[in-house]
Amino acid sequence: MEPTTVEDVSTVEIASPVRRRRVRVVHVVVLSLAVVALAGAAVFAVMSNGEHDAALRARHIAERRLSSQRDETSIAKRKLSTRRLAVRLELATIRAPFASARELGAMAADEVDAARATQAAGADSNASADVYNETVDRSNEIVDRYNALLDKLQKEIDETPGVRGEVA
Amino acid sequence: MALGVVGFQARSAESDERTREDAAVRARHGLEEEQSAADRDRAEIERRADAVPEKLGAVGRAMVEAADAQNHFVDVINHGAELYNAGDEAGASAVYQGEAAAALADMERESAEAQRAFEEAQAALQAVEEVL
Repeated sequence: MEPTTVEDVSTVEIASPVRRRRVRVVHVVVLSLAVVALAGAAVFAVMSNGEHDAALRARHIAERRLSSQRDETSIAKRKLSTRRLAVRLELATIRAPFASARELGAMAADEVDAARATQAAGADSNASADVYNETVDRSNEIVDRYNALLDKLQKEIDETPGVRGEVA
Repeated sequence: MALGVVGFQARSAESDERTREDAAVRARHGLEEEQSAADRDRAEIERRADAVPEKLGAVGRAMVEAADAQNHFVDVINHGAELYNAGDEAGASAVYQGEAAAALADMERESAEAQRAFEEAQAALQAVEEVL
């Protein structure tokens, strides 16, 4: 074993102290800000995507409801249109009895006039039998036409859809 | 940076979706109103149309009542004529002044009733035509 040589300490060069690189505050701040910004951006992106998804779902729901409403409205309009057409057709069949009833009303007024004349002639002791018979003939003529028209009206009413209750 | 862009794009897309949703909701409300109006119109047509046959039935019945009153009047004056022909002029005169006058009044009343029924039916018909 060789003897250890001891160096003279005075000849030993003193090494300069190792300069440790210090973390600058500014870097920390910048890094922190960057992390915060990144986190914020991430949160913002996630939240925005979430809200976008929610809005998308809401829009889909709204469009589905709109589509369903479109169908319902279309059905309602079709029903209205069908009913209008059906009622127009019903009215076409109803016009005939109306025309007869109008004619019958006018005839009833004539009939009342004729009956009034008959009653007056009968009650008048000065009126001749001829005058009386003339009023009766006129009255009978109206009554015959009235009855014929009444029969026609009854038939027309019977054929009218939806008329409740018997006429006679 | 990229996350920010993604976020802003999502925001923009969300805004578009909301706009389209609002448009769909508004359109649906418009359609709902149209549906309600169509249902209301149909119900009104039904109501008015149902009234016409009912009124027309009443006209027919009133006309028959008027005819009955008229037949009664004829029976009465025939009775008066029989009395007259049998030589009972006083009896005949009493019939014409009493029973016949009453039968005539009845006939006038029934005739007016029939006319009123007809006018009501005509008004009902007009009411339907207004909504067609």
